[in-house]
Amino acid sequence: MVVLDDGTRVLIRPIRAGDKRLLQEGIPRLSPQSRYLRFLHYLERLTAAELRYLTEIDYRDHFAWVAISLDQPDQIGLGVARYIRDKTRPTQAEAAVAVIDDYQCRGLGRLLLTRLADSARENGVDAFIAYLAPESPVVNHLLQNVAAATTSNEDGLVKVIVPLGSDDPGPGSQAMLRAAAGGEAEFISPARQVGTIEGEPG
Amino acid sequence: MSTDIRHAGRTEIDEAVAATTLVDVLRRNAAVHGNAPAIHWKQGDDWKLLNWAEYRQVALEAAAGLMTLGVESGDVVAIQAGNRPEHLIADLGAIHSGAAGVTLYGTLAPSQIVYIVNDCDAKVAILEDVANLARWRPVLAEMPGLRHIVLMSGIVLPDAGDMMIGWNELIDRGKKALLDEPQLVESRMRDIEPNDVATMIYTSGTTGFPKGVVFSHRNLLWTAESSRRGFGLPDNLRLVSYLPMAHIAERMASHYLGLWLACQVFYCPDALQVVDYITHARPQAFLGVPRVWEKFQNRLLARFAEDPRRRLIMWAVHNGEQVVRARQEGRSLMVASLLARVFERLVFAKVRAGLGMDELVVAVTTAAPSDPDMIVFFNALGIPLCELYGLSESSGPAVSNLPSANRIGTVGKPLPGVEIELAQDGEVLISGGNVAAGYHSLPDETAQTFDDRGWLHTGDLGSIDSDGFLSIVGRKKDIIITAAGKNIAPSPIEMALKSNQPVAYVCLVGDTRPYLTALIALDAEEARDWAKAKGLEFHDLASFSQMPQVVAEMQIAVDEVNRKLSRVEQIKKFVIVPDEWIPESGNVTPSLKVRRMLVMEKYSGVIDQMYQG
Repeated sequence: MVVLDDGTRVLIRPIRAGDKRLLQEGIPRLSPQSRYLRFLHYLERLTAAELRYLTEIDYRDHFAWVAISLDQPDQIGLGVARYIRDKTRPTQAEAAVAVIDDYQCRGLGRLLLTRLADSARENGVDAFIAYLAPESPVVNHLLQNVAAATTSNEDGLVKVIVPLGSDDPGPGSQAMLRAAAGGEAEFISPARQVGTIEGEPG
Repeated sequence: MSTDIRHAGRTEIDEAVAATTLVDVLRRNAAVHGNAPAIHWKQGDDWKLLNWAEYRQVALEAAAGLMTLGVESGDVVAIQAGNRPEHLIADLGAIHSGAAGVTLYGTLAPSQIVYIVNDCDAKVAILEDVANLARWRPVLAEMPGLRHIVLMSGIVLPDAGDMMIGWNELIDRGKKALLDEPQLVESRMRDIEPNDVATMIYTSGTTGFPKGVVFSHRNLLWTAESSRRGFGLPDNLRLVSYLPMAHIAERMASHYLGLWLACQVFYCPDALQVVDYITHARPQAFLGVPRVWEKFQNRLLARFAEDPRRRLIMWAVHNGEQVVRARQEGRSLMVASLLARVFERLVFAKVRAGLGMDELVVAVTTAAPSDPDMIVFFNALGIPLCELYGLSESSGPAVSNLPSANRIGTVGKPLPGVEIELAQDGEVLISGGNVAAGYHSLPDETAQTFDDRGWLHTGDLGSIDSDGFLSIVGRKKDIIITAAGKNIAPSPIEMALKSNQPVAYVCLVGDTRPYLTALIALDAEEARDWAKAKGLEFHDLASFSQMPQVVAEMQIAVDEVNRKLSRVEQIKKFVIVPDEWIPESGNVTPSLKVRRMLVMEKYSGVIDQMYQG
């Protein structure tokens, strides 16, 4: 169990095969913008095949951590971070993070990523790859602030490679990790939070 | 690292429009050009016109009429009508009452009308006729802030009560109010400032909700003055207005430029008739979107093919194109140039005269990328077609080629007073008095797009060559721009379609195309279940996706989605692709992120087929 900066109590554990409903119910809790940043398209639901793919994992080539709320009577899923090993370059893995809008900007994404990075290193992964939408606010932040990550354009997406380093990554690498996995807007000033755009339906 | 293009002239333009509003400009025009024609239109077979004095008078009457309906300073008057005099008078009437005139596209679905009317809090809506009304009526209850509807034509039924009145009644009310109180409108006009809102343009946002771009009087006049200097435009030009007034290009090119330069504008109510209007008006400046110029080109080529002198004409065209292309490369072809002069006399002068384009000094293509070959074609014919770049958010024109500096394939150089910069990732940033005030009621979006240095983030990626010409090389934001210059957000359309099983992924296609189409990818498992439920045979996804019954069922789902969209947003054709988009296929990343561009590349053959015929 973990307590976030604002006192929220959260359980962080590896994802299980039984978490399909958790994931499916999380989709509507992501705003269209957050969904787009995570999946690069505006999905309404995950198919049964996708849910199996995302929850029945081997914890070696494919690892995911979920965060579950302990403050709510029904323990809803608050966020997921996962990596999937690149078959052609086995020391690299694609990383992706999603945190439901109501719980963004509380340090949850950072926490999930730190756990994920530990698991990744234990399994011989030394760099995360992230695919980001060019219009993602993350990309601008990366370009301006994070020197060590390499970025390139691939099929209209921005591909970011972040080395994981050894042991506990310093604050610079933390920023890189957060930025690389996308979907998290902690480092953006309060006036420009992702997921709080007016005029959107609930 | 950024590349700056600095352009002198910003302070001069600031001074030229200082302390001036649209109200001042109309007053000046009525005083200085009172007897000169301002607007022309057709009534049946007859041409009608108003001179500047009359135009202003009826605008004041409309303003007074709107005031009797309760329109106050800072309010919005919504307008949904074609390009006809009442449209412009309504807009100027709103302006003179201290309000803003906002045009809605004629093709909007009722739910879209509701969104915009409530967003801008329009008090009065001025509609063209009962066809428009039919779409507003069912949703009136959802627009509680809307107090009155004015119908330009058609019969107002007695059961409408006080809510609905006819255009003539609006003007009569205004005349009466002015008789009772001659200073009625003047008292409002006195308080109008250059930074007051003059209009809003609603443009698509990526999450599907339209965003209202807010323009001050100053934005609009500054932009008109910048264009005047850039293109060297004289006063009193003849212009044809035919594109939707809901688009910034039309408002700027005919309405605001028309006011600023006291032009005479010929209002064409149906874009399909624009050729007739051009032939009659013989415009001196003309703006078209790529689709319009493409149609002209097709029409011309068809006519040439039927002309008994077709071999001569096509020789002239090819020769002209050679000369244009050589000039682009900095070469001059002696013989071809001499021939070109002969062909100009023998062929092209007549072609242009036949089109009504013999007086055309400025011809612009904008709002979406143009095919360079098309631009070469028109230049070969002696029509100085130039590509211009701008956005709603930049009040339209920001960067443009000019007849004197036309690098085909680029969008030209910044217009006077405008500065452009490339961000680190190549995004084009624009600064100038033409940059709009922001988005209505969307502080986050506004902050993201209009940064605190005052620069507009266009969402387009560009490069600037050593001579300062800007090329647009790509787009950052997830918006489709059709060949008609219409911005469409794919997200709500894709989302709506995806909520149907067994659809797993939808990719909307439409960039630089005349209409929207879709690639639909199914989930194999869901398709199998669905087949069972419908009593259809399922062998494999590939064959299943092509079965006529499956396509027919998908058509039903597409029709359902289309019903809630405006005509230009509707999916005209679709293809169900034979494969599943799973990580192994490369169509999605291992974490299930869609690789849109890769997908479009992979299926480009199938996509091209949807746009043939």
